[in-house]
Formats: sequence, structure tokens, C-alpha cells
Amino acid sequence: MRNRLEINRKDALSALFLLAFSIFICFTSLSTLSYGHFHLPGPAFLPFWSGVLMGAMSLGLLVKSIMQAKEAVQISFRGWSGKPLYILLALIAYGLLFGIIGSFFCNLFFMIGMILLFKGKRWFLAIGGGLVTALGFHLVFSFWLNVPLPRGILGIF
Amino acid sequence: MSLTESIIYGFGVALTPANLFLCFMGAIAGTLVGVLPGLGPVGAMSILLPVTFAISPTGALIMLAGIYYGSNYGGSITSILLNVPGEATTIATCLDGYAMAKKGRAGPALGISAFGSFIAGTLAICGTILFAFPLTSFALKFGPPEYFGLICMGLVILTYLSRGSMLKALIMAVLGIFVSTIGMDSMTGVSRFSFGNINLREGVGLVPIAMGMFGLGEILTSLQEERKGDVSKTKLAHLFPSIQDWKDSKWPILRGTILGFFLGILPGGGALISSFASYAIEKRFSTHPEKFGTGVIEGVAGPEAANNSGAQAAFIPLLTLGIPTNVVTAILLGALLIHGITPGPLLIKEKPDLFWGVVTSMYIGNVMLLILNLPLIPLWVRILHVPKFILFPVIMLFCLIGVYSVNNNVFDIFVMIFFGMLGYLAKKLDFEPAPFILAVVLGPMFEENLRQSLIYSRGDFSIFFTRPISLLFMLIAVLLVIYPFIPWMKTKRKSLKI
Repeated sequence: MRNRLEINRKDALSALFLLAFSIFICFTSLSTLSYGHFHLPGPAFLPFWSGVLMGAMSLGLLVKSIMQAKEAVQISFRGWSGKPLYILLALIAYGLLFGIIGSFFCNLFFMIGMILLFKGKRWFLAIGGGLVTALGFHLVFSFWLNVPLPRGILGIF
Repeated sequence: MSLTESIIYGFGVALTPANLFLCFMGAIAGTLVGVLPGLGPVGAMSILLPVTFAISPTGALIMLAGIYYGSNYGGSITSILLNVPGEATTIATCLDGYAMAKKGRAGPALGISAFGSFIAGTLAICGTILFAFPLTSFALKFGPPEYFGLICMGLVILTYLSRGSMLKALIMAVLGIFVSTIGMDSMTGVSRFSFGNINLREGVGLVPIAMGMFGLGEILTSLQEERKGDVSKTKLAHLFPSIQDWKDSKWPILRGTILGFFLGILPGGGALISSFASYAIEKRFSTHPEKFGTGVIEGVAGPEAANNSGAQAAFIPLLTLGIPTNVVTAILLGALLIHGITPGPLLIKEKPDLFWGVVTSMYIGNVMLLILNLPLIPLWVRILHVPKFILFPVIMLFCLIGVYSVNNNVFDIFVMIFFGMLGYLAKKLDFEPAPFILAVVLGPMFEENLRQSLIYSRGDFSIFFTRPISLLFMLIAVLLVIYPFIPWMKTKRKSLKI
């Protein structure tokens, strides 16, 4: 029976993305900035050549992934149960709400969310842990290090 | 100032209460991150970078340096007791250290690791003091082409020694160079790739990038890793090595120190390569190489001495040439630049307090680690039991608030999240983040020296190949880039892979 050969998908996909990005770099460099000359390089000189180099190497990676086709290699998502995605969403929410509800409540909600994510529906642990952590951070950064953290629309802490 | 006067002056700086405290904090924080898998010295240094803004540049560097060499001490504890290398630099220690612990000889393994590191650290500091002056005089001969050649060589060596594909490592380095060009062009004042965003006009800061890739990225990656090993089975009696242990270890420590020192000076070297090279050499020199891996003390003494010596020696090119040779020293360079200090050949003359203060503080830090670490081993082991659901969110909060506190700007939080995801994806897709961060730090120097060289030579690229020092650096870089076409070099690189 003939084995099915497949290209290394994760390398091929990375290479295609990097190739597209390098074309974008080259195009944007030349269209928005001055390239200059070899004897007087302009602001676009290095970005353009880094784009060219990256494009060439991405092509190399793409060719390599095709030439070295063997068993299919896929990005493994086993074992992480989507946690990085939830954490990413929590981090984005943190950034969006940081100036609105203030650092204390942001820290509190973030910590509660993380404990619930890691430990399941253990609300007492989550709220207790969240409060202790948020207070601890507030003491260290606001009182000890004097970092002007946002107080948010509630204006407390 | 004579050499002796300089050293006395350095101790005077390092022994001030504030600097002593910072050295202690750095060494302790370093040991902690060395013990804890998931957060390395680069992540810890990035997270603590904002804290250093409130202190003097000398104090900042003393603390950050303490984190670096402290992590080597900490990493060896978990390597020996749990077979979990807290740091990549202590992977070699696992091989015989854990085997010794399984035989009930964890104490001597930990003892020789601490004493070996201390002896190596002390000798490496002497080497640093002796080598700094000649290297500084040599560096004064450097012009833009030489610096450009040196940066090229450093980047290429780091990619050559990276784990996995060299092509991918080179792509990461070029991507890092590109990211470093975002923001205002220092020569013309033109804004590049900011797309009208006022935050991007200043460029992408090192702190959000480093915190994202090495703080957040490491945490996201660590979610999938399970801790292994059972510390409860390990006996911790008799921490001091016996006379026979010392007899077996004295030459491995000395060889490891010398090897680590010279590999540490070279770009791309440092603690990681030194420890593996030392293990290989000890095995070759040994009268019983077949016993390596079964718990011989030489397999612990050599790599431990080498990684500490390599870590200290990596400061020489940073402080004398202004060129970081690995990611950790790249972060240190970033910290110095943030404090308005450009390291280089003139640093010893212009900032003697910083140079001599940092060098002598490393010795003080090593003494502290030796005194504190052995009695504190049970405490460090208990810290390992802090559950992930507390540890990881707290580290993430440190990253979030830390990165905000640099400029009091929420935009930096999003930059950090972006690079955190990039770091995570890079690891999933087998791209090494280390060349990227080194390139981001070296990017502005790379561009400035490239453009100045081309202006000076009126666009003639032969300037990089007609000056002897620059030619040497470029030849090494070119040789390493074309390695895939030379079969024997490919085999050599495979043997270096970790």
C-alpha cells in the first residue's frame, strides 16, 4: 500500500503568511517612505530589504515544507482545552476595561475569571483569591511604588 | 585609577545599603524564577524592568544581573531534586544530578552545584576584570563597519545555535530587525509604519515586546506542560560534599569555568552552550565515561561551573563593546538604554561606578547565593508546590500592570498581548523567539551602522570586506549562513543541538 505524503502544513502555512507579510512590508516601504540610494540610504532602505530577505526565506521555508513532504504534521491542540484562547480574551477585556472600571476591579475580575477557568466553579475560592490578589497588587503598585493606576469611573481605589 | 583601586571603588559602590539590597533582591528573585518552571530569567527581568525605573542605573543593572546568575543557582535545585530544569541552562545538570538524587545523594549534588557555581563565578569575575581593559582598547578601533559586522555575526551565531530550524531562526531575526524600524527614523525624523497611530510613532517598546514574548508567551505555553518528579522521595541530608567528591570535582569545576568563560564571551554563547559543552568534555576526559548519566558528581560539577562562568562572562561584551551576545544581555542593554546609558568602550571611563559596581556586585551576589541557597533549599522546593491557578494569573497581572506602569499607557498592554500571542504561536510553530528579541534590541544599532557605513563608503558594500576586523566578523557570519551547503558543518550543528 502506498503511504500518503503530505506537506508540513504548519511550516507551509507559516511560510505563506510570512510571504504575504513580507510583500506588505516591501510595498508599504516603497509606497510611503523614501528608499534613497545605496550611497545615501533613506528611511525605507532597511525595512524594504528586511522584507525582501524575509520573503526569500519564507519562500525557502515553503519549498522546504513541500520538498520534505512526509507524514502530515498538524498543529496540536491536544491537552490545552482552549485555555490560551480564553486567557487571550480575558487579557483583551482587561485592556479594554482598565481605564473604565479602574485597576482594582480589573485585577479582581481577572483573578476571579482565571481561578474559575483553572479550577472550575469554585466561587468562594475565586472571590477570596481575587480579593486578596487585587488588594495585594493595589498595595504594592499604588502605595509602595506610587504607580498612578487608573481609578475608573467609580473613582474608588 | 589602577586595577586595584578600581576594584576597591567597585566594592564601595556595590556595598552601599541600597545596592546591597538590590543585589540581594535580584539574587533571590533569580533563584525563584530558576526554581519555577514556566518563567525564565528573561521573563522575570522584563517584568521587573519597570520597577528599575525608580532606581539608579547602577542599582537597576545590579538587580537585573542578580536575576540572571541567581536563576542558574535556582534552576539547578529543581534539576537535581525533580529532574525538572527550571532553566534551559541546567538541563545538563539533570542528567547526573537527578540520578544522584535517586541514589540518595541529592545533598552532595546540590552542595557541589552551589560551591562549583560559586568558585566558577569568582574566577569568572576575575577574568572579567582582567579582560575588560584589553577588550575596551580593542573596541576603540571599531567604526560603523566593524560594529555592523559584529552585530551580523552575533545574530547569525545565535540563529545557528538555536534549537530547531536555522531558517526559521533567521526569519525571526529579520522580523525582529523589521519591528525595530517601526517608529521615527533616527536619521531623518520620518515616521515609519505608524499608520497615523501616535503611540507607534515612538516605536514599539522593548518592555511590552519582552514581557509579551517571554512573560505571557511562556505562561501560555506552560499551560500544556505538566510538572513531573516527586520531591518527597528525595533525601536532603548531608549537603556538604565529601573529600572524595571534592577530589572528583576539582578539575571538572576548573575546566567548566575556563570553558564557560570563553564561550560566554562569544556572541550566541553564554550559560546554555557552556553547560552542554562542559558535560561533553567531562565525559570525554573521564576514566569512566560509561558511568555518566548514572549519577557521577563530575557530571554535575562541570556543567554547573560552566553555566555560571558563562553567565558572568556574557557581561564582558555587553559592558565593553555595547553588544549583547544573548537574549538576557539584550534585555540588560535595553534596560541601560532606557536609563539613558549607552554601554561601550567608553563606559569604564565615563561611568566607572556602573561598570565596577556591577562587576563587584556579581561577586557579592554569588556569596549571598552560596550562604542563602543551601539552607533555603527546602523552602524553594515548597514554592514549587504553589498551584498553577494562583501562580500563572499573578504573573500575568504583574505583566499587565508592569507594562502599563512604564508609560502609563493602555496601548502598551495591547502591544504586550499581541507579542504574547506571537510568542505563543512562534513556539507552537517551532520558531525560536530568542533571535527575534535580540534583533529588536540590536536593530537600531544595526541600521545606524549600516547606513553610516554606506554613506561613508558612498554606497560601496566592499567596506564590510576590506577592513580586517569587519572582514573577520562577516566571514564568520557568511560561513554560518551557508552551512547547509557544507555537509560536515551540518553534522557538527546537529551535535550542538539541545
